[in-house]
Amino acid sequence: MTGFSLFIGRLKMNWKFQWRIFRMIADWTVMIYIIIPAAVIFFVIYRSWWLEAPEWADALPLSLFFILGYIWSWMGNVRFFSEDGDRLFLIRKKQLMHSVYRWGFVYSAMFHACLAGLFLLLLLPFLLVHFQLSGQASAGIFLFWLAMKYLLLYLKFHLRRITRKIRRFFAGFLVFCTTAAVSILFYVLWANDELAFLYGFSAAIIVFSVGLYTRLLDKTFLFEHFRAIDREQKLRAVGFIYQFSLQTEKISVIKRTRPWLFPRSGAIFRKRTPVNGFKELFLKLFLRNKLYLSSYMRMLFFTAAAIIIVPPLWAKILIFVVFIFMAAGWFESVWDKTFLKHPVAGKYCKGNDYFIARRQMINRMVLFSAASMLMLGGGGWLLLDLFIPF
Amino acid sequence: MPVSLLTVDIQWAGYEADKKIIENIHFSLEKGEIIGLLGPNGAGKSTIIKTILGMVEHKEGRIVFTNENDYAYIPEQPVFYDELTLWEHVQFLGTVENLPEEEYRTRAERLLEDFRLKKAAHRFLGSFSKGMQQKAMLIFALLIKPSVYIIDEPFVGLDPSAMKLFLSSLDKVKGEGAGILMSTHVLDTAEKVCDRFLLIHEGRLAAAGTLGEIRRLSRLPDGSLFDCFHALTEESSYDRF
Repeated sequence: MTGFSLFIGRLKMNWKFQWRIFRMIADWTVMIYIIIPAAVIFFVIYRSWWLEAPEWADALPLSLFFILGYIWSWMGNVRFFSEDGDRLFLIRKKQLMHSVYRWGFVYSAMFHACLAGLFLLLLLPFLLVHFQLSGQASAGIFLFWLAMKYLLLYLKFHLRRITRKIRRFFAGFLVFCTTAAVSILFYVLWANDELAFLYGFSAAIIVFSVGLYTRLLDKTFLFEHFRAIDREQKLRAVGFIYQFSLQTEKISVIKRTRPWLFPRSGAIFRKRTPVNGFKELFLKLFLRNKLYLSSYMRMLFFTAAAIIIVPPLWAKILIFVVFIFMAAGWFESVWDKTFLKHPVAGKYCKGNDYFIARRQMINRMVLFSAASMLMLGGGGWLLLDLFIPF
Repeated sequence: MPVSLLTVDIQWAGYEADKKIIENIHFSLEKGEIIGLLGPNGAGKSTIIKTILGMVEHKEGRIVFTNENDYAYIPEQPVFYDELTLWEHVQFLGTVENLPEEEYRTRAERLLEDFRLKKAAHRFLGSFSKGMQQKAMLIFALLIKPSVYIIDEPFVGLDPSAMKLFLSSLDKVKGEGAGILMSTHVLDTAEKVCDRFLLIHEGRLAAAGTLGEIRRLSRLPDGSLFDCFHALTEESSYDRF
């Protein structure tokens, strides 16, 4: 067995795993009614950008491509394709293990380059048609993205290894400021048409970052770090896809040791009753679970945006009503997931108190959501109507 | 006359309709008694516990708790809410069990003190070590003082002082009249603390009784539980050939 064959096997398994996760939410109905129509509509819109840039493109500053690229550089990580079992077996065959990591790094570097290429392809209509930039100038932006991505992949690896939180925070802040300054330098070079210098600078950063990272891959004592990054990446992809599903079990990893909210385990309800006990558990769990909170916020803000944007009043009302039913269903699903199959609370879910708490909590959460929606959607619509009448 | 807290009459049970994992398991748990559920890996001990808890879909038989819902289950792998602190778990259990505030607070604080988890009371359980999580599970069970304790591999992950404390807690609740069903591999300890034993082999009850009865069955009058266990499981394995 060679390192490459082992890497290919694990890569295939990884893609199969990601595909299965994707298929869990995207069954044939979602494919036919959402994904395929969305892809067709996007293609039509994208084609229209090549013919004539949309009006809103006038408001875009050129520096935005650098700012967005810099933000994107902070995202993502390397996949090493390590497994827990490597701790037992592969660690005895170090050459093989290092070879898998090196191939994983090559794959990740290519993957990020392809992703940057895809972003460039999406933005090309704006760069070439709207801003009338040359191909060389567009290539400069691409190289900047890639250089910053590889540099930050390397720097983030070292930031992760700092165990003390405060030290990590300050080191992270320093890296943020320095790389932001480097990005500004890139922009200045690009804006002054110093493209040869920009290409050279980018190439140097790419070679420097890739070279330093590959030297790390042979260090066996970094195994736990590689494994932790890999596990995080695998779950991140799963978490991202699950964001779109209301029914699928969410995975939320809490890294804190103590809560921000109610740090001394303080009670929400003054009166101690079993009904309040269920409600308190649900509220704390909901407020501290990032995935639940972000799903809820997204549901709230997307619907508010739809209410603001969609012109006819009847459509706004319809969206509001659909939102209320959707929120009620979502809260019911979160509540049931919290209690019904949980070994700690499961045995208490047969009594009256449980059902009273369920009804009261879901009703209140739906009322709160309706009020929030009226404020966000209705308020936003009125403001828009006052300041931009059309 | 002994008072049964739990009566188990399982004809068969399994995770699929046509696949029996355990068969003919019949016993009862009396007041103030500790029963050790013993057996090699894959014998069906966990399936018996899950069947008693109603977590196995396909079963034929009858499980009767004298007081419905009056039990505590301590799983082998600690389970808890990632988003709640240790004290919030305690608060939840105290509230839904309708325990008077003063009583549950005093009891919880004493347990946290005894198991040396007082300083970690306001931390998420996910940040605990495995041993600390196991201690937390024991605290949850001891807090609600049920009449039946169902414990799966209680000695895994406990340090010696926690084990000692756990055993003395078991002794105390037993003295108060609780019944304890305990699945374990630690035969030396089981021999010391259990009143009766159920030896499970390949999904069936291979032997049942007190240490004296088990010794008679295994024809080892002075044998330890460890020796009897091996004699009985090897014998039943040979019987198949």
